Amino acid sequence: MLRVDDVHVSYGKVAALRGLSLRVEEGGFSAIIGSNGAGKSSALRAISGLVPIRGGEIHFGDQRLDGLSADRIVRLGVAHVPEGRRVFKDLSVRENLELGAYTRRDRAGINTDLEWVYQHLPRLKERGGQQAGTMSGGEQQMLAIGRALMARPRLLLLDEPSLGLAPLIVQGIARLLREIQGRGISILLVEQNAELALELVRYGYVLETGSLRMQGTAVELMGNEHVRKAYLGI
Amino acid sequence: MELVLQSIANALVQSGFFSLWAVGLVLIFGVMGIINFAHGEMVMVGAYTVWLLYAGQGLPFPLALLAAALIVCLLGLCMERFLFQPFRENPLGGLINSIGLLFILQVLAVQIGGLGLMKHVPPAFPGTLELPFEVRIPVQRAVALVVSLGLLAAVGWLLTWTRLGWALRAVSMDREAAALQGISVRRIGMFAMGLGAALAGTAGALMAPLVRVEPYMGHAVIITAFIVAIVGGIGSIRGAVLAAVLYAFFHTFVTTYYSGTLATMLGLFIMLLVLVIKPTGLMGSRLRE
Ligand SMILES: Nc1ncnc2c1ncn2[C@@H]1O[C@H](COP(=O)(O)OP(=O)(O)OP(=O)(O)O)[C@@H](O)[C@H]1O
Ligand SMILES: [Mg+2]
Repeated sequence: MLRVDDVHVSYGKVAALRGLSLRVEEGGFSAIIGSNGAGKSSALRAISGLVPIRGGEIHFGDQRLDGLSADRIVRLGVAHVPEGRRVFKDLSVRENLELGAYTRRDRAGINTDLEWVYQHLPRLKERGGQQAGTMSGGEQQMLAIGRALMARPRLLLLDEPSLGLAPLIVQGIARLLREIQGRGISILLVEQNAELALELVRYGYVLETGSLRMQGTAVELMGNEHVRKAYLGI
Repeated sequence: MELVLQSIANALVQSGFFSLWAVGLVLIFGVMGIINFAHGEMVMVGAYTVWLLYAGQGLPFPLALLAAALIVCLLGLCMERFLFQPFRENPLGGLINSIGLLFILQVLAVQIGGLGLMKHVPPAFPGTLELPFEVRIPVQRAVALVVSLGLLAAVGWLLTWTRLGWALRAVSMDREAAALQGISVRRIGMFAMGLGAALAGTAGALMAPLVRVEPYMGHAVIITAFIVAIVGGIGSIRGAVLAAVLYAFFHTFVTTYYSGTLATMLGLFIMLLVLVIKPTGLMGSRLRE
């Protein structure tokens, strides 16, 4: 459903991606792992239209994404949970969630999805009227994911959802991601926490300084010597 | 005692104007990250529109007011489209463009109405409200206050209760994150610019019968709007309104008992003090990254 072909991204003279190709299947769950500065965020930002690409093509179903503005891409069914959560700090939790559904007009459907989010993230329901910026990091991450789900996307892009969170909370997020995939939403996850990522996904890509070092099923990658040494610390 | 009460009444009317100026400036800055130096000239264009259409052509005042709002709104949309959007990556470019436009508008005003000539705009609502304690408010001023308050309430309602308002606040907090919710940052920028400009134009139109209409009347507007926006916490609408009311009282009282020049000088001094002591202003909680 998502096809990224030979995509190049650079910031001024700095090349962040040099020919990235990857696929996410309908209902699939894939991950990009890599260390700081490998280009993981740049990959997601290119898909969701936040940075222009210098070469290559990006397709979502039969739609070509590259060249479209970020808000158009959301309307096509791609939601992006950005690195660092980026919730609207001065708005309430409820307002953040409503903004997630900004592109939609089906009030009944929006309410159904709001119920789903509240049911799976009861914390957000308790905090509905609270300013988002006053919540803990974990709660803000939940809100960022909930907000993205409110767009009722077909593909969810997640940039380091585990960053800076306690292990218990990370497990909660892992469970949530499985539930989301269970609803038939495809997921592309970006993680420095390779252990978490490979535990969750079926297929993974290893990104190093803007290029793919290797790819394979999670089982293959977990058995790979280089991955074990460089990313799993075994 | 009468003078105090009279000053309070005058300050209330000023609060309305100061708020309209500052809220427009803050909206534009918040959403687009551009300091619109031509904001005072937008107010001036609004006042000139009323002078030309109402005092000159005899159009009814409410219609001239509407025309001023629309013309300045259109001016704002053109500025956004042709002066600011092409310089999105470079906020300094937009700022310099707005300074350039400021001079062009001033020269245009001189061309149209001449320099130094009295541009008399008769009050559309003659008469004076006689309040207790010998406080007198010309009806024209009372109307200006009521219209200002109505507009501010409408903007407040928009920002608090509508999806458009939430989108506007979202864009001013984090453009990228807003785009990721499917909000068209371009369209919201257009909207903010049109709204901020319309508020400035309306303020100018309301002021026209009450002040001296002249090409450089924008000076006082931009200085006041800066003081108010910075004291209120740049980017915070509520802060701007609060600061506008406080500053209007301060300015009116110092002007009444001492002098207008001293009032403005002290105002600038307070602004600097706020910048040094609490750079985020009264209501601003954070500085923009
Ligand atoms: N806005 C920018 N301007 C200039 N260079 C940038 C910018 N954003 C990223 N880069 C550079 O591009 C490269 C890839 O960055 P990217 O953010 O995609 O990496 P990442 O894998 O997400 O890293 P991290 O794990 O730290 O989030 C890095 O060398 C980074 O310094
Ligand atoms: Mg990153």
